[in-house]
Amino acid sequence: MLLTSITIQQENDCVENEILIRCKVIDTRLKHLIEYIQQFTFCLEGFSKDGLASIPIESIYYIESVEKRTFLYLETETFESKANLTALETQLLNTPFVRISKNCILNTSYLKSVKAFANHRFEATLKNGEKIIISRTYVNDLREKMKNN
Amino acid sequence: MKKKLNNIFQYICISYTTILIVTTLTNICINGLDHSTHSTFLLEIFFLLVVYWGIELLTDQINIFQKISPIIYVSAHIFVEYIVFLLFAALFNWYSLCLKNLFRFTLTFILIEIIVRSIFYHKIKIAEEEINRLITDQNISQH
Repeated sequence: MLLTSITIQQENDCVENEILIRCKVIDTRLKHLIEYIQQFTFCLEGFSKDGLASIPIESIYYIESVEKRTFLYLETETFESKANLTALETQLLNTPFVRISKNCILNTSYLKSVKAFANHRFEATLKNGEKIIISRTYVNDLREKMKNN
Repeated sequence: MKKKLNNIFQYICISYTTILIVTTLTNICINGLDHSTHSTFLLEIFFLLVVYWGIELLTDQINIFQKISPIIYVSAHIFVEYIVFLLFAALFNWYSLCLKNLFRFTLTFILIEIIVRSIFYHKIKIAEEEINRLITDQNISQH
């Protein structure tokens, strides 16, 4: 079903931003739209030397686990998360995030290109110029996620 | 068309392998284990491939292999496979130990490696193209 109109109500006394979708049935397109919007509804907690911060997930480029510590990488900043990678993966299930290796979850919105190597691994180039490795085990997951996006 | 050919190729490979394993096991059950027959050799080849797959899984689990350059990784991998291939050849008496046979088996190994690796490289290049096309589509819709 096509989205026929978008109504935006800007009010001075509005306390919280709210999106209301009026529809007859939730079809595949609408489901994708809802999943896309959902990523803006929650944040992840991360701490840096400046203290604890609430990080909107759409600003996270990728999440990496290094020596049992989990790091959230933004365009230029890095935060540490208390949650482990598996817990975050479950939390980010219906978002553009996808597991790309045993220790990394990537936000596909920031993917610029991929390059295949002879060892069957892929190198992902992100929009900020960073390069990360995609394990061959997860290449199909990435492809499916990109198709669903 | 490409996808169809790919499916047919996979179907033939899986069916062919299954037929070979089943007929080999049936022959062994009926005639007993005889190292001089071709059917036992086919089963030995199957075990060799299982060992190769085990090496692949093992190297996938070790982080250090993900950081080294792809060329060194592939070279080291081929070398390990070659050693395992020679060990299997010696263990199951695939050839009598002489320089001529070693040369012959090395050539066979190189030929098989070139064919198999070319097929897989071609497949990952197709995957690379597809993912890059999906990224382009995504970036266009975002703008």
